[in-house]
Amino acid sequence: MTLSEKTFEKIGKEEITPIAKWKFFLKNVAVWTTGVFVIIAGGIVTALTIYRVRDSDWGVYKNLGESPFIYTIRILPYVWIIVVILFIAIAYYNVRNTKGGYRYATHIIVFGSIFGSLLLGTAFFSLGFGEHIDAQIGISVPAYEYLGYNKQKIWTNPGEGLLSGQIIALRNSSSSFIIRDFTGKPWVIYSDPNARWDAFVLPRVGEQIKIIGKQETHDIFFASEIRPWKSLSDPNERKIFYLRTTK
Amino acid sequence: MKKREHYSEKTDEELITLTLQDNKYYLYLMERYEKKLLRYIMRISSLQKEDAEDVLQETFIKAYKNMNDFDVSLKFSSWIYRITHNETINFLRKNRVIKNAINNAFNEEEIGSLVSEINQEEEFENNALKGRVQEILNAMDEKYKTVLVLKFIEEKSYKEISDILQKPSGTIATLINRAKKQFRELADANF
Repeated sequence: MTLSEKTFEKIGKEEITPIAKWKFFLKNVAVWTTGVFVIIAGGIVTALTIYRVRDSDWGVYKNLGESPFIYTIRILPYVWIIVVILFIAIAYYNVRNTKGGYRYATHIIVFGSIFGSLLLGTAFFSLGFGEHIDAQIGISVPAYEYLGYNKQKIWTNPGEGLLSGQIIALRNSSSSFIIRDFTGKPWVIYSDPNARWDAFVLPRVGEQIKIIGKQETHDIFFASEIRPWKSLSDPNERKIFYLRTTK
Repeated sequence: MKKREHYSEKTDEELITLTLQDNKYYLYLMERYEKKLLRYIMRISSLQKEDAEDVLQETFIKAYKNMNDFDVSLKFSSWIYRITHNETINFLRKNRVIKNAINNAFNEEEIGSLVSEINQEEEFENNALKGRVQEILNAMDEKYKTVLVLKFIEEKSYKEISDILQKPSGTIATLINRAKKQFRELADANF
């Protein structure tokens, strides 16, 4: 009796049957669904990372007396970068587990995943997803603001020429106003006639702003540059801003 | 006998389709691959015939169970070699195997083609090298030994080796080059 005959007999005796086609179909669906989910989630997290990096006020390292390198290390959104790397690793594992996934070289899958995440992330970012999700997480997770770049802490450094808060009263149009910083302390702001006002900030009560300038006394600050607290990357928010200003 | 001759004209893929309708056709498919796969197992593992047969039986059963998952973009031979390879590696991991055992799984012609491929610059005396081939292969890293066996003994193409070992073709080319180098180094150390 040949081995093939013995095996054939064993298959019959033990009533071994082929695994149903639908089980393999389900497995494939699971692999591809995970793949699509990972790509979309990776794109969203990349959009968040781009938003956080763009919103990091790269120019202010001079005010803080730090080198660009140290400042970069300090403000990088590590949590999101780690999550993006995690998604890329899952995407890699997923591609390798598709039927023909082994045919692609590692660097092609990894760079393909990075490129895909960047492409989708940029698209999501330009649609304002990054900003919206960042704001939503900020509301739901109180500790979120302290992860990575702590914007409020950096912008509550009056001694270093950085101040932020909400305008609570206008004294003499835009040249003098009062803000309450994020620790709750009020400040009188004098705006230099040559002070630069960002196009997306208005001298009106309720505006949240960032100010670069010089501390004069314990509650007086001279402003040389005024920026909006939130950089308006979302085209919808920009539209709302223009509508607000034209009313 | 007539019946067997009739099925010998069928392709592997046709036999799979028939097997899914009636499992008796699987016998012809197994018979077609029994000798080739048994030799392959013995070549990459140094297993003796009895153990190799156990591995092959498990391979055939596994292939039968997974027949509905057969990837039609592959050749059936690549798919069955892949399962055989994986089952052999699993067996070697689970069992203590004497690595340097000689099991005479290579014939002279195959050894000749391997030696002439590796010894193109005639660094070594061909006949002496032929006598030590299995010994040298047994001393090689498993991944290098496998690619040499697949390329020069089983005469598989890069694409087929890529499908069997589930690695990109570029990686296979690199593995073959490194395997040749390791073979020469071991041959050098042995002479």
